[in-house]
Amino acid sequence: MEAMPHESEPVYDDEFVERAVLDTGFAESDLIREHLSLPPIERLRRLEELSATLIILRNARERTPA
Amino acid sequence: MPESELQPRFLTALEVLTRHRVEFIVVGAIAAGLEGAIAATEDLDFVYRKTDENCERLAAALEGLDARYVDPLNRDIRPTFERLRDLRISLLKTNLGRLDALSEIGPKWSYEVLLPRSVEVRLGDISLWSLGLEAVIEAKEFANRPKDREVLPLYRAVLERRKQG
Repeated sequence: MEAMPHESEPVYDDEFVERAVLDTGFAESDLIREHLSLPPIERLRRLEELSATLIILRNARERTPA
Repeated sequence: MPESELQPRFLTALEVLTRHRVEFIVVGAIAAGLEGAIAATEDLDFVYRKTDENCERLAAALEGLDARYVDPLNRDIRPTFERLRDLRISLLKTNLGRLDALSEIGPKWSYEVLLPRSVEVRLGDISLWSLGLEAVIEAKEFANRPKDREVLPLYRAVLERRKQG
């Protein structure tokens, strides 16, 4: 019988990760407007935050049994 | 994510390069992000000026970051002056994550070619050159990998918005 992840563990599959990236990275027009209004240091901070989230999600996906 | 958990690794790496007086231009996703086109990325890409003096400075900066080449056999290969001088692409892992040191991108775009298409950006205490969004888009179109094609709609939308003012 195939091992199942523990009930309390979140399951991060490809679709979940792609959705998260799309939701946060590919912004709606109002988000583009907001990003353009920020100074470069704040834009970089946002990018760092987004990138860290992506890495956490990818690592979680790798740890999740198929 | 709580702000306290986030280490600003890209900014820290840029500070290290700047502190070592490396002549470089930020390219790729970070350059696009500095122009307002913010999408996630795992690595910091930059093009360095390929003079002997600059390759020496870059090698010293990378030593401080404990940089090693990404190697499928997991060998400990370090970016020396000679390698940085002779190689076009150095894909590195460092104590601040992935870092790609490039002597050119796209259709043989070197530091000297890219500089006129770059903008000077102030980040806290440091100032650096970063490739303009239009040129980032051209480089991504040239590379045309799936990950490049993925971000192009966002980059083009931001460029369009910038043109509208």
